[in-house]
Amino acid sequence: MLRRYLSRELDQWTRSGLLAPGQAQVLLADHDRRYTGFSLSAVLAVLAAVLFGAAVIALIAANWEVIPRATRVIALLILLMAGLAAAAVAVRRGAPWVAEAALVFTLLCYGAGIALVAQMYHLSGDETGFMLTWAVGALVVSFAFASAMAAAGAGLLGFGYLLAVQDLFSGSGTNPQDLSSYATVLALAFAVGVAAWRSRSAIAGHLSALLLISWVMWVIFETTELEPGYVLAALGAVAFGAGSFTPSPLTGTISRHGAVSAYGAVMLLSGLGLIQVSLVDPGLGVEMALAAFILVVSVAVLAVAGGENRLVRRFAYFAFACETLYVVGETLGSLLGSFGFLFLGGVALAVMAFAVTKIEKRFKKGEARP
Amino acid sequence: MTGPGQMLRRPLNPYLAALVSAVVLIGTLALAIEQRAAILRDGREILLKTEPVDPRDLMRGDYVRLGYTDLSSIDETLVTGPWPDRDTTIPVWLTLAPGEDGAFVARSASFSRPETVAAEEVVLKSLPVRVTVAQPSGGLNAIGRLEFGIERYYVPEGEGLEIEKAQNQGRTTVAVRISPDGAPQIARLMIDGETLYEEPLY
Repeated sequence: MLRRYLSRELDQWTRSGLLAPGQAQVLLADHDRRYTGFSLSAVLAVLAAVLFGAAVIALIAANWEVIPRATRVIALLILLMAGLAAAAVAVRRGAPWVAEAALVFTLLCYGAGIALVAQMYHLSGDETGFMLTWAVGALVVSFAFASAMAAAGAGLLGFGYLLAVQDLFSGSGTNPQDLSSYATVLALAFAVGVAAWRSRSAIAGHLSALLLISWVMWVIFETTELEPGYVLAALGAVAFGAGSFTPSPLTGTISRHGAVSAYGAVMLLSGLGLIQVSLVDPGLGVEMALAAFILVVSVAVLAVAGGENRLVRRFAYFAFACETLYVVGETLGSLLGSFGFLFLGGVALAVMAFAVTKIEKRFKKGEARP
Repeated sequence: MTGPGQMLRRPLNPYLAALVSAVVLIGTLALAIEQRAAILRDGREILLKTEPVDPRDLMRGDYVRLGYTDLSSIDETLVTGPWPDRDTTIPVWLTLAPGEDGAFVARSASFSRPETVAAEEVVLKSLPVRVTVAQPSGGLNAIGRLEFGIERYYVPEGEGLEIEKAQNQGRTTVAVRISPDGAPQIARLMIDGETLYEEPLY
């Protein structure tokens, strides 16, 4: 997709004389060299690996007594080693997606192995240990091979561990055992972040950030009486501020209006939304004041970072639209009946769509100028 | 990019990467197996009577769910030593002693490891459990249902029904080996004292 688009544009530029003849081929070759990315065969290879791994897990789960226990363990270890060997050979031969697929298979076998040990010795009820062991295994593999899939897998397993641990300790107050599980989740989030950075995986990076945010929310929810909505909004405001008004010494680490500010905007607006839906019987005045505040905030976010960051822009539109519909529903909903509400909502959205196209045009102009 | 950053991102030789990964993945599995095998080999053996977990809920797939008579739910008056200050989730230590029929029953419970244990007694540590503590404002001291990580017995498909039937009639006993630090491991499953399954070490 991207390559076709790029080659079309390059042709256009060459024709209009913006690029010297021959320059287009050089640029395309450079793109091909760096972007080995997302081909269909790569996706199919990873999917095949997932299926093979699932087959191994199913075989273990069926507790197939025909094969003696020791044989099952050894077979699983051989599969593990074969997966790792295949990955190493694929890396050497310059087939990174085959290597990723082999590593996915290896990690699924590892999970099956942990389950098999539990089955062999009739262990029950230790989901946290299971998730943690599996996640650490995924991290080790990700670090060793600089593997993006393993890093993303570790991120998902980190969430699995968070859920298991949170289920075990929910609402039980602070005690030393909680502290160690807090520390473990935090360490996992950071380790996934480093693994993502090392393997240049954007998905794993997002998983790490989400895990970190969930961790903060979890700790606050467990240890304080604060409402989660207010906390989320406050954290979002701080992150947005840090991302969009970066003081100059930090510009090297945080890019202005970049990911930090996008996360901040999303957290700020979702936090405010959470406050709004969890208000109990507030009275129309308070509700309208809050709604107006949310509308103002989404416009402010749009004005500050919308020009530079597409995600911020889209989310701000989305929040503004939701809030408008909410206001229409709250104030006029009961008065109008469903027809009137749908009609008015439609009008409101149409007006907004018109405004958005105008704003987008201005942003485009702004982008074109420098 | 800075020096340490560059070093962290430098790709490892793939064969070395495979070796490191293999050592960690296989090592952790082997360690887990050896840990359980060590309890089976060296642990002290005791007999426990089982009770049905939920009589209406027979056979869930390929394992039998085990509850332990007199251990899975314990009387709060058995607790010796201090309770926690407030509601929390912590393991409970049980001190077990043989009852009249030779099966072990709980003699006392505490929230820290008991220091003195008589020769015929053995300590068993539960998984973390929800503990509710009485406050001046009200409420009662209460301990949730105890689990020890031995509540499942995997059987070949189809063989679980007979065990659950026997369990419902109180005829199923389990021989458990316990490590010195209170970790249990199922060694044998018996109906009417007759061994049905015996666990090999590996």
